[in-house]
Amino acid sequence: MSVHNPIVPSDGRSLRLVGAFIRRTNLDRASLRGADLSKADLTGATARGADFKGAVLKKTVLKGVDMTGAKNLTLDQLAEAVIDENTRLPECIDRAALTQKMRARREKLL
Amino acid sequence: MTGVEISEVIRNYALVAAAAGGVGIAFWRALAADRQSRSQALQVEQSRREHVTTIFADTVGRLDDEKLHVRLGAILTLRELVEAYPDLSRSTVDLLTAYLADLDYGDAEPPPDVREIMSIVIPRLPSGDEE
Repeated sequence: MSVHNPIVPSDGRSLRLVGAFIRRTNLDRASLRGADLSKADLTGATARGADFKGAVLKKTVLKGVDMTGAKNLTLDQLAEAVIDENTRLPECIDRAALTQKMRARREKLL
Repeated sequence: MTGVEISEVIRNYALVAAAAGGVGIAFWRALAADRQSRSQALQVEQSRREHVTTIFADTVGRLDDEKLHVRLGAILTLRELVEAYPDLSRSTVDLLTAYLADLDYGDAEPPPDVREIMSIVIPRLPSGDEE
């Protein structure tokens, strides 16, 4: 484990993790504000208490991801992601409402 | 006006003229010294950039190595480079996240280089932050 602080680029641009293969990684308490996680594969990762404000989750694979206590996650963000029954959603997200939203989105796309 | 007085006036004018000339020469020399110092600073900066660029390029090349310890060393070197040269932070983060997009370790535990990169590029919320 690194003893350094993370690199925070001074240009203020958000993190780009497009297409990143980061299965089973530790994202607990990660600050992912505005991060672009499109098409990233987070299968089996833990993101407990992570902050997803404004994060882009387009086609992000969140199968089996533990997002217990995650902050600032919305139904709209999650509806664009790929989840499964093992994905642990934060308490503020209603799984039934999410499923409905994802179904409606799929039908709209067809 | 006596001859002595006239010679004093002439002497005074001569002194003033000499002083003005001295100031001019001093100013000119200061300008030249400043130009030389700027030029030297520019050369030092250029040579520093070239040196850093060479190290950066060599290190990036080592990220492709098949040996884990070589890749890990490269990642840590990049981290150290950013500490010394913060202007490299954006390119380093972009490079390391691109590296993550180029992987596939299946369903195994993330290898040490991936864990190291995650600890470098992912900022964490301070503990106790309940926003």
